[in-house]
Amino acid sequence: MSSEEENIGGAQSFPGGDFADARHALGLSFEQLTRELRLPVRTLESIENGQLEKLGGPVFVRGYIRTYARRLKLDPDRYVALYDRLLGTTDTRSTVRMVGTVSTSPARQSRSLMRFGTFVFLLAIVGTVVWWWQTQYSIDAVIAPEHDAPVTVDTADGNTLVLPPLDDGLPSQEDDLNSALPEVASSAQATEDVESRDMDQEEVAALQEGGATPGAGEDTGVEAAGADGVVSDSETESFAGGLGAEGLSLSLAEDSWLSVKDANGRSLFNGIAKGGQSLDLKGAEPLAVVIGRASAVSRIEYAGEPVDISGVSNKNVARLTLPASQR
Amino acid sequence: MFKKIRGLFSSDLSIDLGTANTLIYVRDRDIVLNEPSVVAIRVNGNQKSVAAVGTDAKRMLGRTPGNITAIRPMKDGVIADFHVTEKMLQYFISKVHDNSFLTPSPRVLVCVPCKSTQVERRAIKESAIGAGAREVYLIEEPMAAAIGAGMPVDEASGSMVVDIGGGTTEIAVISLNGIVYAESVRVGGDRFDEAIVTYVRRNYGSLIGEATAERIKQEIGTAYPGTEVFEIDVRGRNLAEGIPRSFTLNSNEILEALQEPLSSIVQAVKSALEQCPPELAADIAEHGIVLTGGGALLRNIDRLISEETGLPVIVAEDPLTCVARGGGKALEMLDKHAFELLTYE
Repeated sequence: MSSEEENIGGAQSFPGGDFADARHALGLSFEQLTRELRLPVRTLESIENGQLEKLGGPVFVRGYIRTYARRLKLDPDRYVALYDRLLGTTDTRSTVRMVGTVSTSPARQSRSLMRFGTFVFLLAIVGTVVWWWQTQYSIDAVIAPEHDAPVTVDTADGNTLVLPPLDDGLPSQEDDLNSALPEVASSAQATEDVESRDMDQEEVAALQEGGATPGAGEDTGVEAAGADGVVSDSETESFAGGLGAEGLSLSLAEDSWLSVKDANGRSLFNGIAKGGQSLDLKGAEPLAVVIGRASAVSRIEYAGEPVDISGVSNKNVARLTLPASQR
Repeated sequence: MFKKIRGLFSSDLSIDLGTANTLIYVRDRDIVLNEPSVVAIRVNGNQKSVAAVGTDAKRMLGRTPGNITAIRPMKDGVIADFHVTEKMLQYFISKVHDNSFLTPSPRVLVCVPCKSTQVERRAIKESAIGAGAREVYLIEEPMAAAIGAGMPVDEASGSMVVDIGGGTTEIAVISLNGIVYAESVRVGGDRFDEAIVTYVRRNYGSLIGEATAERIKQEIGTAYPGTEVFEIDVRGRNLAEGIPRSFTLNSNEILEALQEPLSSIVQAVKSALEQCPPELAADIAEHGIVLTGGGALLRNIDRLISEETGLPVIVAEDPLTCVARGGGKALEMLDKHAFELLTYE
């Protein structure tokens, strides 16, 4: 191993003596070199004495060493590398690592993947929206059945009976839901079909009692309304059964839109109440009642007490909260 | 929002968008790309597409058929063709990102000439944004060069840097993280090549291309007469005969050819020294002038400036990458306290 390699390998000081020796060998004075290299005498002396810290920043010191070494026909790279080792800098040069040659078709591969990813993302969003909509729709269907949808039953002799809605006042429900649900008593609706056939009450009653509507109660879970199951224009029956005087009771002379909600926001009735229909609605107090056509109401009572809706009607629309004390 | 997500998969970049070469420094990874700023455009009817970028495109310069045009979108340090520059940047940015799934959207620091106009800076910024950058910061080239060369820019001491690039030469006196005086002359490596082409045409009656002129400059070019004389054999088209001819050039001839652009640079350096405040001039006289940029690789250019100014002149280590490395260092300090180094439109 040569002395220079040893210096580079484990030098503790800069070998400025090499520069002094080379200068003496070439017979050059500081004055000559200063004129030639434009470097101050102090700089040249500092290099020869190995006192490089006096020369300023590393960028300048490297330049001085390189210039001086080149003039003295020494290897500048070797002395600069030695200086870098003393400084603790391993390599000041940047090794440019090429990322690859430029292809002749610089179309990006990521573009197709990006498109595919975007497509999958949009598909997922659409799927989520559809799923959410379907979920909401089915919940709405369960929560808000059509209160005023009548049940049509074909009898054995070809006649048609129209019965009140199935969901209101289901006495056969076995679970606790029955107690939570509002008990709605609705009068049997006299349909125009029945009326057009001029069927009297006795004939209808006979049909009901004689099992002319087989499976009406079993198949649908709905028992024939009322004790005799007679569909009547005048007679009012309570579908909820046994409501008593408590709750809201109202009768309508003509068709009117009606909405009744209890304190939990549950809809007790929401839809068109037919003229001649009587309703007994019961729910958690207070009840929010909106009557679309106040003049159509012939009777309205709450807890057995008549309610005056003339004062709460605006443009024939009555909005009231019952009992009135909780308004 | 997508840019932010893509930004998570992108590295911060410092781009030395030079007239001759584009260098990209990736944060924590050093310089990863050094390609010529050349784009080859293929024309099919009314449609234009990129045929090649970088080294391959440069190889096509002067050798293209009618439907391909190899162009250099940067001229004199600023954008000459906005859309082609954008395409070139887009390609380089995607090239330095390993991730091929998401289009990269990095934070980018671009070096701009110190005397570029607001419009030119805005063009560079817009171009980088168009190429997919999430955020774009600008830094003046001499400041980046000084940082990259390792000069003590933050000290209360004058430092003079001369960055000889492909299109421009930037001269700046820096102290306390700021540029005290800056000058930019539109003379650089390209002007050297043009001067060689002109010299050969005038003295040999032959036409040579830019690529040949650049090779001559790199192999035997010198800025100051030395003891050694180098020679090179070149081939060009003889203008009188119209056929290719071979002839020999030597380094003294190239020195003669380069006299005009070199004197412009020397004049600019002298002018900067004249304009410099006396305290800073004293610092510069003590430490010397630092040369960076590809032009600093021209043989004996430090000697020329030293002789002309009477000051010590130092060529920075790895001068070609100083600007990109300096930009990279500024980028690494960006989140801390380097905002004073940056420039604004």
